Amino acid sequence: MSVLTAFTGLFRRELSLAWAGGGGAALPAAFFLGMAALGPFALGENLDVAPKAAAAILWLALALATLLALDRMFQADLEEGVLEQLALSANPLEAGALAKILAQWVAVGLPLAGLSPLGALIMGAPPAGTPALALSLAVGSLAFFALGAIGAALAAGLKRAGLLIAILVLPFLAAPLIFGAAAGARALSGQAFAEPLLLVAATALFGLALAPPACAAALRLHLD
Amino acid sequence: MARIPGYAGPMEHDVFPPHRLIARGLGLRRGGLVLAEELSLSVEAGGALELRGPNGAGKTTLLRTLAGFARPAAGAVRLACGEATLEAEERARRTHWLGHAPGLRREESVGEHLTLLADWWGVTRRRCEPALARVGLAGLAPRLGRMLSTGERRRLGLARLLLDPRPVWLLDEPAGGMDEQGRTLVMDLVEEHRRRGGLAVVATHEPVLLMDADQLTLELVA
Repeated sequence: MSVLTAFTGLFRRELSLAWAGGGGAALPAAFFLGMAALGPFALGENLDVAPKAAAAILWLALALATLLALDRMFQADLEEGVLEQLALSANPLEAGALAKILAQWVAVGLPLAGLSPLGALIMGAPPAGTPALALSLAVGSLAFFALGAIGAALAAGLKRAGLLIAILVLPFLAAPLIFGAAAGARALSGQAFAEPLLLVAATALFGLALAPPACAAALRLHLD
Repeated sequence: MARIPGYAGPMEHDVFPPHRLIARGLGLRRGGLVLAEELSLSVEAGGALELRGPNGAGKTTLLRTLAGFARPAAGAVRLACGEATLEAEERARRTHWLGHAPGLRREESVGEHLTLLADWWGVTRRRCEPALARVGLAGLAPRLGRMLSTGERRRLGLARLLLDPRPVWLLDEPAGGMDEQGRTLVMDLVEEHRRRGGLAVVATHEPVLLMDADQLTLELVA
């Protein structure tokens, strides 16, 4: 039971910190909607492809918005000495890493997925497919945060970690992005999207299995 | 002695089983620099060790090694309870670390911080208020981390020591940046801790901080 109390305690703390004092989640959300709003202008006179490109643009926006949130995911706790206090416990850092990943997903990823139908409509996509697009982004952001957390933990000790996180993490985000953008595009054009969506879910599960021990090992190195 | 009236400390009645912190043949490095070779120490239940020495001599590195954060280049640290040597996980849950970092985020309140640690460490949240009161921070639970003064941050670190009763205290300049009352508080808390069978290793520059503690002076290696 005490592991569960510990886990939910950290999860809840991460949620409230994500939105505290204009915290980490507002910037990715603004970035995400901004990309959706500017996408049609960038396409210019090829505006007729905007509905077809909506899924791709929103998936790219999600991937890049995730990077913004990853920047401080572990770094702030490392700098302020919170991780030292968490490390001296019967509860493993692995559980702490998982709690932080899930909290980032709920605080940042799910709101972005919830905003995505709005983004798709701005680009003139048909409304019918937008709930499925949002679902694919919701699953995809879990994969992004799980895989991205590994890079965030590895780079947490560095001053300007964002650049290194991007270089480390972007290759791993390619797999969910490929399947996810396919699922989103099929959903918007009214085709069957279950297969690519399940592949996105597979990358999310892979990330969730890999990330906790990898993050914990990286964080222990930073405590040295 | 400065004490909060009517409050006897969160767990004065408990007594720890006898622990012993032992380091044998430690080699300490920091960034390739040799800080110490063949360093051995032993602190008994109820005992205290004062670490002294100039800045850069390796006091913090030694403390971080004892805490299990840093791995020694040579030798080993172990924590024994009675005859048994404890596993790394048991050692971690019986060790308190008070370092220079505030321990809470700038945008996090004192109350949220202690609640999180109570949950994470597996102690009841009811201990948070008394621990704050004992270190003179009663009523400061809503205060955000970035609003705390240096002394208040140190006191919050002391409150963490009281939140979860653990036999091993590793304190890195606990009285640094504290006023006279704060120093007295540190002395009192360490004394109470030792009377209950706890042990402490304390790095300090204060002329007098602990009663009849062993001394270990680290020298700068040329």
